[in-house]
Amino acid sequence: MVGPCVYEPPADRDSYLRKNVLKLASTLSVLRSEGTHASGIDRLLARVPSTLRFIALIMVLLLCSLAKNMAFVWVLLAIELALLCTRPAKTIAQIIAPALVATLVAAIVNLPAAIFFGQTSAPIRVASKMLVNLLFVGSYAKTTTPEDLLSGLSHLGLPATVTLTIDLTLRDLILIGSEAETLSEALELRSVGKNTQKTEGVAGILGMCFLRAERHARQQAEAMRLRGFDGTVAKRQSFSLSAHALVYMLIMACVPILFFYLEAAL
Amino acid sequence: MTVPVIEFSHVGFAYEEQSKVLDDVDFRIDAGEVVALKGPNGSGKSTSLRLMVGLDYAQAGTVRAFGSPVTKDSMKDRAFAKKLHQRMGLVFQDPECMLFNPTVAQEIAFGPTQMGLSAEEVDTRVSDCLEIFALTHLKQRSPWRLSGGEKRRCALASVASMAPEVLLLDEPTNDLDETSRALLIGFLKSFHRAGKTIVVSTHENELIDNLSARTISFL
Repeated sequence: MVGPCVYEPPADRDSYLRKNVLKLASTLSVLRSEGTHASGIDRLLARVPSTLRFIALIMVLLLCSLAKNMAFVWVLLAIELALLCTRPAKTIAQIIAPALVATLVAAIVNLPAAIFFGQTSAPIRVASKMLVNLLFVGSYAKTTTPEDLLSGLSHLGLPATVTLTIDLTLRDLILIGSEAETLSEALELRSVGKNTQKTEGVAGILGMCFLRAERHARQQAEAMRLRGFDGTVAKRQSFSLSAHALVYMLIMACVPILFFYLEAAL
Repeated sequence: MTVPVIEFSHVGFAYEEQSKVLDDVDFRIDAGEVVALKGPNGSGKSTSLRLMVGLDYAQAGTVRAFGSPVTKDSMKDRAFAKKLHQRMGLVFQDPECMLFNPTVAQEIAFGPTQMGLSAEEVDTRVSDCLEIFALTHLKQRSPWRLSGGEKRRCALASVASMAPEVLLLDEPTNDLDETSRALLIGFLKSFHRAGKTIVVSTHENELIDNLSARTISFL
């Protein structure tokens, strides 16, 4: 066992591993996002309570959808594009790419109305509004962690037990993804020969993930019981407004004012 | 004679289809003691801690906490179970299992909030624990995103905030660097000075010496 070893590995492909478990793990790892605070504006936004940002987002989405005056939509688009410019190229691409694809689909779906019924402005209006909304949602998602989002929802009246359940589900999904990733890497490092029973390797990883997830869930339930959890979560929420939050509220108050001004001017 | 905080009388326990983990175990722990449960892996140290807080039940003999038997029937009384869990805090070997709140501050506040304490009292306990365990700068961070040592400190803080009379710790020095280790030992010493009881499951002689703990050996 300690002597020299001459080993020529037989040719084999490991794409099954990458296309199955590692792909699943990397998909789940999206939930692990810590939120991008790469630009100065995002760092300032991070100091604003997520509840306020969530309310502002809903307001912007509603007003943008209701707007008859397209000038309002263009102003929102200009603001969002200006904010995007402050972010790193990778983040910009991650926000813009899905928004553009969905916008294109919306434009294509509305194309028959333009061709057959002469509603030439309809595809542009729908696609523009969709683009603006998706850019805002994308920016919010990229700069907010799932925990912040849940915290925001709980301040808006969602029962604490519900937010706890969603939070635990997200966390456990991440944990399973992380376990699968680690086990797959360990398997990949030892897969130096030719494996004729590849499905068994994948099944082993998934089985082990299941067992570990079960053990983790059981221990977590015990830990919760030990700290007084009996199925309901006592509510304790303090909501204080910082200077950043006040400035943010003032800026966001301009959005409905602009909306009503432009609608009146139509 | 005072009532012991924890008393094992001829306790036996086995997990399903396994040989006995505990067989005819007898010991008592008095209030204000520091006790180390010492022994190799699989010798029943963690199981003993679980029996003390009623996560598992003795299959033979009796486990008593504060003079009351800890049995399946007694733990069905929710008031008794909650009171026991407040008086006796257990820090798990794997701290990750104990962390389930969105932020470190909320994690520490969970226990006191469930106890129905006032918001002011909860805030005071949270800020005290954040300071004691050097977690103040991490209070808005998700516990899930902490390092191994920080997670362990957070788990300990989340139990300490319930102000238990007895602190049970399962292999508390795992994953800890020198700084976190010193912080933990400092906390345990001050906890003991306050007249409280500590039970540590460990196989580390250094920790036992540091705490000047009475040793109960598991074979």
